[in-house]
Amino acid sequence: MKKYLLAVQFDESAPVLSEEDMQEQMARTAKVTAEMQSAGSWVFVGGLLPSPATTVVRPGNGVTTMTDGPFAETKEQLGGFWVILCDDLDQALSWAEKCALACGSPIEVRPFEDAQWK
Amino acid sequence: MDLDSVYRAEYGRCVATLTRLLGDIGLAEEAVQDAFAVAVQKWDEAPPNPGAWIVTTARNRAIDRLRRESTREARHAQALLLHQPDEPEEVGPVRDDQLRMIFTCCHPALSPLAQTALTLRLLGGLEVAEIARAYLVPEATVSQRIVRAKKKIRDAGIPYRVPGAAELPDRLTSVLTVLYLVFNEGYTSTSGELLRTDLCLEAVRLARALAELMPDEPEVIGLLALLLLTEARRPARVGPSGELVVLAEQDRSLWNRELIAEGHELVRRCLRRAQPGPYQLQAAINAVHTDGPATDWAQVLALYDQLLQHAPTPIVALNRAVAVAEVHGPAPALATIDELDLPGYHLLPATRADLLTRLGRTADAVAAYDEAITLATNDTERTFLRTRRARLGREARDEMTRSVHTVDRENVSATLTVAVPAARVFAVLADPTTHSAIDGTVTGRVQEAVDRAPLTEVGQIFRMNMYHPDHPHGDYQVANKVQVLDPPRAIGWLTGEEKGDGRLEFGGWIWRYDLAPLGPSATEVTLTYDWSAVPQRIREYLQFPPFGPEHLTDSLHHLAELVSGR
Repeated sequence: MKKYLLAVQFDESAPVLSEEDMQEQMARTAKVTAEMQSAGSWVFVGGLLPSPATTVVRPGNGVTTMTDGPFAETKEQLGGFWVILCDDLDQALSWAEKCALACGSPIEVRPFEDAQWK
Repeated sequence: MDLDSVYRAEYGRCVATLTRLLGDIGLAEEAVQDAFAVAVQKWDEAPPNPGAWIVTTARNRAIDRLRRESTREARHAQALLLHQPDEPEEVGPVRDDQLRMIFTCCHPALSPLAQTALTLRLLGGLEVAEIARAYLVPEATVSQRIVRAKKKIRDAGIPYRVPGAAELPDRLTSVLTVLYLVFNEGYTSTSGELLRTDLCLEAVRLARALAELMPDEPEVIGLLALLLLTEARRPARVGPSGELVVLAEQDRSLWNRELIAEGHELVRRCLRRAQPGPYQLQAAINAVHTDGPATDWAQVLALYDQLLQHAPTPIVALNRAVAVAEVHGPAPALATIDELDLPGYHLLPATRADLLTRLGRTADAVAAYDEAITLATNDTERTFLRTRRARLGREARDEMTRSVHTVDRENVSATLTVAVPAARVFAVLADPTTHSAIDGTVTGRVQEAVDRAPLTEVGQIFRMNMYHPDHPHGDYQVANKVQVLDPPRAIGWLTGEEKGDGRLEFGGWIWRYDLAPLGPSATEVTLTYDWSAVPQRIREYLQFPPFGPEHLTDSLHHLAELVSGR
């Protein structure tokens, strides 16, 4: 089995969803997670707060500096992620399709380092 | 069979099988290459089943190699290998190996370019250098692309299997697209010569293999039929001097009858299945083109209507317009393509140019040809478009030129309308190296520009080598001085001679071009020769004007050819 990260690329510049739409989206997303769990693919899931809550800690000359805000000031930020266990990329991609439709954001599928060998 | 042809025929199959046995494409390729290296040493001639020999040898070499290594990967691959039966491979699994490989190479998680390169390398057995040559990219680029793709297959876990029923339609589309693009690149290369025969043949070979592996997929059969019917016409598509020959003008006796018969049979098979798709419909259109002495355009149009429903793309709409023109005439056809959005695609203006020509809108047609020529990247196609436009230019001469020849005391002028912007005409005139071509062979005076820099300011001197049979020396040199320079409206110069002491002496006559824009892509050019300022002492030995009545008109026509040829 290989481990994959399904990272939600959330567009923070998009208009905020209505309370009702937000509830629906969360329900859809939770349903996909439940499916993953019953299929035995699920390892972890987590939703993240928007990027203004972020702090970056940088190393340099043996000391560190802290800055406010996300590492890269881009429109798309990591909005949440799943970690799943799959036989191969095709299986991971089919979960990613479900996740993308459920949360309405692009999903980046990234294999873990140990995914190369079963 | 020599080793090269065994390599070409068996490489893909052997790598596919070894990939299944070793679980890794890179290891499989190394093992197969090792086996061919052994073959070079051992074979006097190829054994009866060279593929099986290579697979067995590759497997043994791989086991040896893996035993010497102790990495986790090596142990894993070794374990896989040792659990395989020792018997020679059956036909069934080998065929499946190839099919698996096709789907892995054309996986949508790989970039389209990587898909193509991998398919040609791993299935076609083409060398990296051959792929690089075919796509006119550096070898390093192709090899890097292939290395990265193989790494991604391994790292991301792109499976080595035929996709299940649910994914199959999508995944098959991406396989068919790769084969179609390989063929197309061979048929109309993006640059250079028109045909790259080897790519066409490779695409046909791979499509045949795919059709054998998946005989029940109508679109696979459709793609094969389409490629066969297109390939069949290849011998007639290029004329004796390498020029493009359009369908209507092709010598049908040059078409490959066998391929056409095979293609027609496959199209009939598709029709019986009645599950039409884009490739089958395109194959059917090509079947109509290759059926009987001439194309039944009404049938072609009906098929395009159907195709447009399956694939509502601007390119299909453009091709359909050609059939509309044949059935309903050029005007309705033009209306259907007026709103198409195909930026950078040369066949849109080329089709428009053809329709405008048929409508007698010559100036618009010339402008459309110009646009198409600018966009076309293939030399042969460009030459074809230029020839079309030149033909149009000759017709246009009679129809649209107001070539007025007036002699008003001491000047003579002529006027011609050319279908290019004034700025372009001006740029040509301001380039002294064009002047001998404008002067033409009629007088044979201007031979070659000595000063070749563009004319940018009044007073600039540019010398020309000349020849005239009446001149005391035959060859001589003149020094011209720019007298009028008003881009893009007027340019004119005086003609003189450099005297022995380096002083310039001008004869007093002036050549002058006046450009009047008639819209964005047409210009009225007036050429005037004025000798009113010529002093009497020169008039005593030269007669004015020193050329016949046709000279100015001829020069303007030379100019027209020159400006539209750039």
